[in-house]
Amino acid sequence: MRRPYRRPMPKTWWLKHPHYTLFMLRELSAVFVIYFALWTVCLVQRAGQGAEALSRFLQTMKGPGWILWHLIGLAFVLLHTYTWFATAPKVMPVRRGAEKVPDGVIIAAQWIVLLIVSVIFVVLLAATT
Amino acid sequence: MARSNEPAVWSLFAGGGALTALILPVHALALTILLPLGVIEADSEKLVAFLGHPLFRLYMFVLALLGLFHGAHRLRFTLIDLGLHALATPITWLCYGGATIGSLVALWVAVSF
Amino acid sequence: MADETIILRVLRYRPEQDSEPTFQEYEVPYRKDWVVLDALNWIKEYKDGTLSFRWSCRMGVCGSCGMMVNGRARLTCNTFLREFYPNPITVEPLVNFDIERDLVICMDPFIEKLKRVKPWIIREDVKPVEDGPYEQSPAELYRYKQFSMCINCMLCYAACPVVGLHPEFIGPAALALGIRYLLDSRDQGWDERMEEVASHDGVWGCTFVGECSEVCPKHVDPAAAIQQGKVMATLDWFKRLLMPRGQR
Repeated sequence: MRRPYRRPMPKTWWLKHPHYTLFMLRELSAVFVIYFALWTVCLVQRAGQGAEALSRFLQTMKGPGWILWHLIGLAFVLLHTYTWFATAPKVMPVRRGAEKVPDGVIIAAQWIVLLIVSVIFVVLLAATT
Repeated sequence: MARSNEPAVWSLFAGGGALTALILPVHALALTILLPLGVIEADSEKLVAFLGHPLFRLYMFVLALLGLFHGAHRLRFTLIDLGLHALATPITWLCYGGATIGSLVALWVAVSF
Repeated sequence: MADETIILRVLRYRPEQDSEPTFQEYEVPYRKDWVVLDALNWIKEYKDGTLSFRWSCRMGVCGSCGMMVNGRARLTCNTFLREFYPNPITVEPLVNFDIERDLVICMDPFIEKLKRVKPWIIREDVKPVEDGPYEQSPAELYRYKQFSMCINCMLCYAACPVVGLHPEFIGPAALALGIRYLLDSRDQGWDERMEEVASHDGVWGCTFVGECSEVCPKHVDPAAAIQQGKVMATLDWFKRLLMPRGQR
């Protein structure tokens, strides 16, 4: 006699294993990517209103609540960066003939590029202001 | 089954993922934390000139466009997978619609500086 | 030493008598060199001949004995009791599949999904046998070799939340196999295979949880195959957009 039994998928499936939870946190990083993008639009908009408006905006952002919020956001952005770089060699494997370039090499190369870009960003910001 | 038009949004998602992975750590640290705290000292007038520079405004627009579509794409799948399968179509419209409006606002801010 | 035992909590479902599955506990001799499948066979031999489960090769090749062991999708023939001893071991049929009986799952949906990606070499011009084989260089072989090592054990389907949430998703093993043929230099079935691989149920259903690759006993890395499939489908989509039909 055939009477297949279907087990329901629990709504909390993403709490069942650390890998699933980490995946959910990775996806949640999208909220902060959106947030920081919109924050930057606000920053430029305030700058457009003049030096005084910009100073007031940055003064508000000095509040401990804002700083804490941005630190949490930074942590999620770093999770995004870490997971994105880690999966890049899977998405776009680099081959030299039959040989695959080791994942570690590609991951390290991305972090080096990040380091260079970061230094340029800070130097530009500090030098021009 | 027919081929999906998903590449249209996935390419924006992937581009946004790569750009934000690379630039957003230093961007968030420097602009949203170190600058308000005064660790990076900046003269207000010079800062206005820096943020208003055409290259920074272009960067801001690209970051908004790709970042918003990257975020919208992930948010769409996450909301659906958290149990809102029945609302998949409105969620899809809301996510990409929001990203489009956000990008247009960013474009307007960049152009009207 | 010989008297040591370990508890196996096994999910039972007998469709002719049970309205839903229930756990049954068995006390099994503990041997350091026993795998979970050995313990199940001991139960069937000495305790309860009605317990049903699939198995064949006992050496991680046939892909028949996949089950949930303490909540993880594993081949029971290479999961040792000593990994869990002295704690009890929970054995359930693979999740994201209907239960046929006890630890036996209903694999029909998987077989249907396998067919969808047309896992065979498609040729427009078929060479006569006497003209010899279609030749391939080692570099061409290595583009897809890893993705061809699948033993259809379905552990990746049990590990994939998307399969559970959207049963129509073609899923890791079948998509990896479809992409294996897309990457094969001898294959000429790109267009018709892409219809399935690049469909809504195909690679675009995947959210890259990546757990399929974690549980794969053959290191096929279906997650990598599917992401590469997304890149291939995207390039193909833009090519179709920019180039009128016939010039491709």
